[in-house]
Amino acid sequence: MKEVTLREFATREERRKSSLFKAFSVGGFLGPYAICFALFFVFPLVFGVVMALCSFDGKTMFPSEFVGFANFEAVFTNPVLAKDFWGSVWNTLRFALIIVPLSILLPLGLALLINIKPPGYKFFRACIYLPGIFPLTATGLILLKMFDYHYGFFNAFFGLTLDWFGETWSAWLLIGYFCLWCGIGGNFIILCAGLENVDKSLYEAADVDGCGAFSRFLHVTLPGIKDQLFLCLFTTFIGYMNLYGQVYILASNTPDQDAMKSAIYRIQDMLLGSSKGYGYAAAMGICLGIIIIFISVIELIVTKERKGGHAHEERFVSWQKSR
Amino acid sequence: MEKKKLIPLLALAAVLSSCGPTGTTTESSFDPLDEGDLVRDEAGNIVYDGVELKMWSVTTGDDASTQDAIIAGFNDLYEGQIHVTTTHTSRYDLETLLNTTMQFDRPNAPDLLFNHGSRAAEYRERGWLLPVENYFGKAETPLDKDDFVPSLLNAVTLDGSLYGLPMDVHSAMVVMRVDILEKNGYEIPTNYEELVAICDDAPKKAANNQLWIRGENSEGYAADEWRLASTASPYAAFPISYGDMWVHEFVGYTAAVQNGATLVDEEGMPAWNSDETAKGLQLLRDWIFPSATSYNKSALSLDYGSSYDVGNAPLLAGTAMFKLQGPWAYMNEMADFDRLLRNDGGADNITTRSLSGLFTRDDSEASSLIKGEGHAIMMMAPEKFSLTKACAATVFMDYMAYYSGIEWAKRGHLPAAISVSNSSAFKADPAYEEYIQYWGQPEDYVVVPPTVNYTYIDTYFKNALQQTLSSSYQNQTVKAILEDQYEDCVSYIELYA
Repeated sequence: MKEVTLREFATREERRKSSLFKAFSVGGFLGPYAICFALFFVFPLVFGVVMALCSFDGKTMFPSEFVGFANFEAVFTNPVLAKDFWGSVWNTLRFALIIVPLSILLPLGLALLINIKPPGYKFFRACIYLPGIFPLTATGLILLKMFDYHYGFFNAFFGLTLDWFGETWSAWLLIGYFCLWCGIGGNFIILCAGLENVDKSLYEAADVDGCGAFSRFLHVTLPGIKDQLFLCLFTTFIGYMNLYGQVYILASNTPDQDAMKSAIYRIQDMLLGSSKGYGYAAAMGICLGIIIIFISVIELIVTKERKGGHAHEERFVSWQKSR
Repeated sequence: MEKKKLIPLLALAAVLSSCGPTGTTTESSFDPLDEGDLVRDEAGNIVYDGVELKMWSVTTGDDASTQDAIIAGFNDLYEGQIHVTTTHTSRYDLETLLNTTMQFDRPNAPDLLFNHGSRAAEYRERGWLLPVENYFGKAETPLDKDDFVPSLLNAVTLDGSLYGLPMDVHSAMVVMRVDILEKNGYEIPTNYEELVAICDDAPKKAANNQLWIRGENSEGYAADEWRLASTASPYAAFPISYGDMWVHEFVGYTAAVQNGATLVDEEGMPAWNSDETAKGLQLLRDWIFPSATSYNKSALSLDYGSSYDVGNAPLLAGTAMFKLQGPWAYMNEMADFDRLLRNDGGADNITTRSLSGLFTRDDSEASSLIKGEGHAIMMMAPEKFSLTKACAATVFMDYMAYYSGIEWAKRGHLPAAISVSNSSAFKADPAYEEYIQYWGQPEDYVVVPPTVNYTYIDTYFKNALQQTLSSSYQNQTVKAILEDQYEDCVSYIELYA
């Protein structure tokens, strides 16, 4: 048997205990999150991909046969599936293109006003955020009643005869209003926090340089809250590409359903009846995900900070040499 | 292969291996000689000793209370032998609950399901149902199939086997303001032409300041005080809205079948893209948007557009003479009028009629038909089959079909068993005399024939109906709308086939 000195034994024991402690620490802190992450993110993601590659027999929620990319092929080539899905994607994209800028500009304007800190600004700040905490269904039902064609308060008050939820354009208008009403609170809080953190000395310097209010906003405020603006842009865009609840509540009774269906709503429709549509629904979900990733990457490239690298330094050196 | 790449692939392979049929369907094949867990006494009768049956029911609200009272009667009668416990779930949640339970938690699945018979074909395709007829024989529970309304029995008969016992049938009905009709010299209409005659004449009278009305108002009149209808807005006697569930669940289909349409063909495919359906839906379109060629010259209803409901206001106010309603709400309706016109007849100021003959000008056999929806009790395929439970279930089904008659009918559910609806006990009840008799014979009711494509057939028909009644689709013919929706419907069914 190999002889071990007391020092060696003590060191080894210490190392063993230390490794065990580290393992338990990591496991204890990371474990619960890792389990939830695996269960509720990794598994659905992987299973979603598997579903997209399988067919379903309508009897169970489990896939019955591996069909490769047949579901994706159907999403692109089957006339009714392609018409319905890509039509709904187009509806969603058009809506997102309008609502995303509004969902950033409106809270930005409000945040700028609140940032002036007028009397009672805390009350107004709370009021602006408040609609976001009401349940979507409750707000939707109030809107349905308010804008009802026959008994609605809005038509009665203004003497209008417009069927707000009967016409496609007005239904989308109200969905947009609904989204803004409920959705601007989050972006507003993020932008308020961003404005609070803009270095005040920069404003002083801008004043000294003779900047006007607009120049200050353009050259100090906007660059100062750039990170928050990008965060809002990405999360809002992704959020509205997944639009569902607002359309479901307000436009389920609009006669032209093809013009009202958002992409997620259409995917949800595929789950009607039995499980036979699950494979197509999963394939549609993945296609939508890819579209969102693609547009987000374009956004990322467009909004990426252009750093000069050593260009400025090199130009300065060459200028110095030229003197 | 690198270890890093191998791990996700293995994970994917593990998930893929979950593909394939994993359901635990236990639809047993019936062996007449097998006695299973049955216990018999000396006389050879089955001994039911504390058999517990669990039933899920689609009924809620007042219907649920009535059903609980009926089932309590059964439990008292069979105390110590068979006991049925009922859980009520709305139809909006029931499908999800069934899906989850039958696939992942079958030990906790119900033994019986009280749901619409039209769902049987889809449930059976998923392997959730047991054929019931053999167990009636085994339990020696009498079953006379000829005693049930054919359309209702047909809905739960799949490939020649009975997958449930029909209990009842219901549809929407019409509530009529008798007081206003009489005051203005009108008779209670019994068919479409009589109805249109009233609805065409009433607006003319109203425009000439000659139409008497009474009811709730904000003009300072007492509710029972007669006054002349306002000339400021057109009078529409029979308001309907395409968002109204009575219209999209019952009236649209009824208009189609009364004009001779078939809803589903023998292959279980939609058959509503026909001239007959177009004729029925055109009549409904004219109801709101009369034209030079329509039979009615005045609008029977204002255009309620996308409004979900016409509401109670027009009938209570007397600004309408007719209203669609669910028969289970008629008792509430009577209570409302007892309160509103308590000094002058109360509920006697209203009456009710079925939809029979109200949506066609034809005088054919089909004109009396009403599209209905029937409940049936179905036997679920359990994880562990018990013959005693299956036999006990037939005793319960028999009780529900034959002994819940009048109480259940008061809630608008006419008995599926013809002998019950024809019985003197049924007809002797004051409720029958007062209103149930006006909802017609159960034989007049037709339900959608069994099809595994029910969800699609129903969804796309309703889309067509909604577009027909919408002002924004007036430039399209009803036939074109039907064709458009039919094509999409068939495309989806074929995609899944």
